Amino acid sequence: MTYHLTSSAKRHKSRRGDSIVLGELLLFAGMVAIGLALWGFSLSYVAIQSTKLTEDQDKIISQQRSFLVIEAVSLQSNRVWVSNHGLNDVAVISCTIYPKASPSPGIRHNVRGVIVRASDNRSTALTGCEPFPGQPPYIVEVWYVPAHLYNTQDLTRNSMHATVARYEKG
Amino acid sequence: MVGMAIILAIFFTTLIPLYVYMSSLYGLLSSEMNYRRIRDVDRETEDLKLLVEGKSGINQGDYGVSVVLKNTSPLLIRVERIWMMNVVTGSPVGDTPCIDRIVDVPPGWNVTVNVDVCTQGFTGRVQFIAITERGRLFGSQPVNLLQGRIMPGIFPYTLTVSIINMRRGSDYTIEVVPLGDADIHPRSVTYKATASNENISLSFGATAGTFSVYLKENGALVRTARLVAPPNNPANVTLPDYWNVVFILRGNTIRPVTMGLEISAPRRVLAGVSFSFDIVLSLPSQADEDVRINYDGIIQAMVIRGDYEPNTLDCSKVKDTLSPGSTETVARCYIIAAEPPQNRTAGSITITVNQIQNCGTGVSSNLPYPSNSDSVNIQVRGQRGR
Repeated sequence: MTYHLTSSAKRHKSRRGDSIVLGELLLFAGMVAIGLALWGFSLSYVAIQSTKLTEDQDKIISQQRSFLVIEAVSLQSNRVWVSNHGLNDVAVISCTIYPKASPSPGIRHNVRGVIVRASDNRSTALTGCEPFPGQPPYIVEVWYVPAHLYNTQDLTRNSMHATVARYEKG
Repeated sequence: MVGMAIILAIFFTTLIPLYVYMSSLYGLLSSEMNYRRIRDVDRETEDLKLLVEGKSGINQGDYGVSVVLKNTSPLLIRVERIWMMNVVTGSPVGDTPCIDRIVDVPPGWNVTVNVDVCTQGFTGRVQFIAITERGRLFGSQPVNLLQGRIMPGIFPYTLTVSIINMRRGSDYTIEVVPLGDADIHPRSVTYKATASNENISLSFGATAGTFSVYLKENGALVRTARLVAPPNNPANVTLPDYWNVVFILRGNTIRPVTMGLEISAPRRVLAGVSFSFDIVLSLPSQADEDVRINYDGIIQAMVIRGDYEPNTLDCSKVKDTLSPGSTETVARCYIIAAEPPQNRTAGSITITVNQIQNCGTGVSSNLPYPSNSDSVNIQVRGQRGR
């Protein structure tokens, strides 16, 4: 059987074909746009996560590399001598002396980031410790953070990365 | 197809790099943890013993305190500082480290560090603390200091070491080395002999145990050929079975020397007036011992001729003993000059002390010491012509 289309029918069919192509094009463009957005989102997510991971690892490794030792204490002159035997410079943030029978007073933020260098073989005398009027036995606690993590704006945030060196007498 | 490509792109450009980065971070953290663990193991392996030693000197004042760093670990220990802590106050003496320089102690070695600079003049109970490069603190047993010298603790036993027949002028050092866990104080004593064939006995506070006792003469170990007893140097002694070590040195040959004799008298005297004159003796410094003066022998060897009143000579002893290198008046005599005969306006007196074979006796050797002779002529001026 043979069909013969009229010219109007032919025109109608051509318009329908155009809209299909256009629809496909729009669909393709939408897909590409969504894909690119997804790609961009994942890239930014990876970048943020990598930065966060790097910062966290830096904190952990810096803490691993920090090692402060309390060498001697003088109650008379209220001095505590410390030395850095780690690989990172550290900043001392707190120094407390308390009776051995008492619980630790924790971080007092009474020392404003005294830097103890790792490269030095010398000891550093801390003078800002809380005076202890008693006699031995006592405990000395020195809290410190890696020097490059020391936050000068918000001192309380330094507690998050702080490590303690302890010294017992008596 | 496009979706697949985008998924693949996300996978290769984000997830895989993130995974690789996380893996490398984890590797870095692992290596850091491993490094820290190695450091911790090394720190725990360090083992340093601090032994405080006192050096004593009796007649030279050369005493001192030193700390022996004994490395009993298989690692090289680098000591960065040594503190001297006052045990009573818990504070460092002088608020400064005692030794602030690096001291390397190889494994199995002992290194002695002199700490006189911090102990000088200090009285009290102290403890020495050594700080190592790895951050360990090692302390000594507390010791008592009196004016910078170690006060002996309470030891249940006494070890006596004697030296017989020392040589004058030589330094004798007794060193006592405890074997095992024994302890003794002091570990070393030096004595300078002031006379030949001098003897000395020294006591050391000790615990029970075995000790090696070394005798050194002028810093060198005394050879067995020079010893009469014991057969060996060092001598080993075990307390409390034996309490004494006696080093008998072969006696030194003492050769007497001639003493110089001189009469010290005025050149002129007046007749009828009493005057004095001295007998002066010199013992050369080459002498090995002190000499006891033979006063009677000197008086017997004295001959006086001339114008003097008979039976007016009166002598008295001034000095008993002479030391090597000294010159002393040993006797002082008085005599009255007599008027010269009528035919002379002036007279004279001649005093002579002849050579004496036994002018003195060696204090240690009992050998006779000779002297030379001397003679003086004194002019006597008569009172008549005045």
